[in-house]
Amino acid sequence: MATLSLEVTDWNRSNIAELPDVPSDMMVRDLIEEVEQAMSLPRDTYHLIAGGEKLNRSATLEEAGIESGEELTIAPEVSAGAA
Amino acid sequence: MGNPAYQFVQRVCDRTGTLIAEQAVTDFRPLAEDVAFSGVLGGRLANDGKWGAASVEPFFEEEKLAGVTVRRAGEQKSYPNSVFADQAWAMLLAADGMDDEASAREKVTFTWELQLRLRDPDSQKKRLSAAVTYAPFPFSADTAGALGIEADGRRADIWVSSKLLEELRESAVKNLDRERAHFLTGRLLKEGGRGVVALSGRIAAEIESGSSAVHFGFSPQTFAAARREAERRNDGLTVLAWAHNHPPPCRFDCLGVAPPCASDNVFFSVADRSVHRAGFSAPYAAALVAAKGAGRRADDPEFRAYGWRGGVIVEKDFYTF
Repeated sequence: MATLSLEVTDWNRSNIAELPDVPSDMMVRDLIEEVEQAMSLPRDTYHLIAGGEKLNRSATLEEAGIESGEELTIAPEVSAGAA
Repeated sequence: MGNPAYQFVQRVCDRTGTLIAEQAVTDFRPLAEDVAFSGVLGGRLANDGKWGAASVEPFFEEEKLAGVTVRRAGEQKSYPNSVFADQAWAMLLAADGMDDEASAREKVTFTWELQLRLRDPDSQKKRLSAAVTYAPFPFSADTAGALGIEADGRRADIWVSSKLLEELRESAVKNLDRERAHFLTGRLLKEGGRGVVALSGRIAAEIESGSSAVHFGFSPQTFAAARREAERRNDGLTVLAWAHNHPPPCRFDCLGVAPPCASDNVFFSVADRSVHRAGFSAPYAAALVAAKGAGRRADDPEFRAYGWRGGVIVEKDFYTF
């Protein structure tokens, strides 16, 4: 199992998390939880984006094609509304 | 924020004491940012982003958990339990704890509380090593006067250019049958020890997750696209706020009613608050809502502004320039 060095920024670049030892077989959802914890974000709201695409939470980082040195973005999926 | 031996848990119960929803409180970021912002505005912290992570500890009054104290870079502020009220409301809605029929028959009330619980050490995950760095707050070197803002004694945290407000008005009028959203750009100013946003630009939010008369979906790509567009423009403006409209319940038919009815659709809903918390947690971040006001035509929308004050989202005054 390889380890990846990743940088995750929030959508407006106000926080940047550097994670030097991320197992490549880690599930995307587990990495999201790690970043949420590190950035003190609410749970179950965020996704990771790489190359403009939202990563499948159920895939491993390897399956998602994430390589060491890659910059990921964490951003929420939320709905505004009058309902 | 570390991984202390305890955690905060929020519980919502009905009036019989039956648990409706329970969840760990994790989103302390608005409070951590508020502490740093206060320190920077007060001149006690340099605006260099080197504030480190915040620690969150409970404080008690009469042996009851009364709130949290947030410490960061030598600064500290205490926040009462009530700063988590929005989350309780969101939990209640997510748990489908509101019964509309029952609510119509009688006043249904719920209670919520914050609890402090020890973590089970065996259940604690080994966390990855993560170093978080923070960007300085994006203060502009401009002054309000240089931007054409004539305060004339008016103290407001939010100023909107007349041109931008007109564009938002047009967008709301064109979209009486669906919600549209915009990222608002502008300059963050330091005025008299306060953070003031002067909004003058907009980036239409891409509709990735759908839009209807009662919702606008922000996908992660919506946020990422707004960031890319702001960076592409490179016009010295920063995304500081967002805006959206609430169409009237009778959509375009509203325009055929005379005189205008008393319905008022200008409010910041629980969902809107969730968007603000998740995407706009910076202490200066503002939000505008455009919608039909009471006694006004839908094509003459009213605007209200919202933003953070002491870790809580509140309605705020705004003026145009």
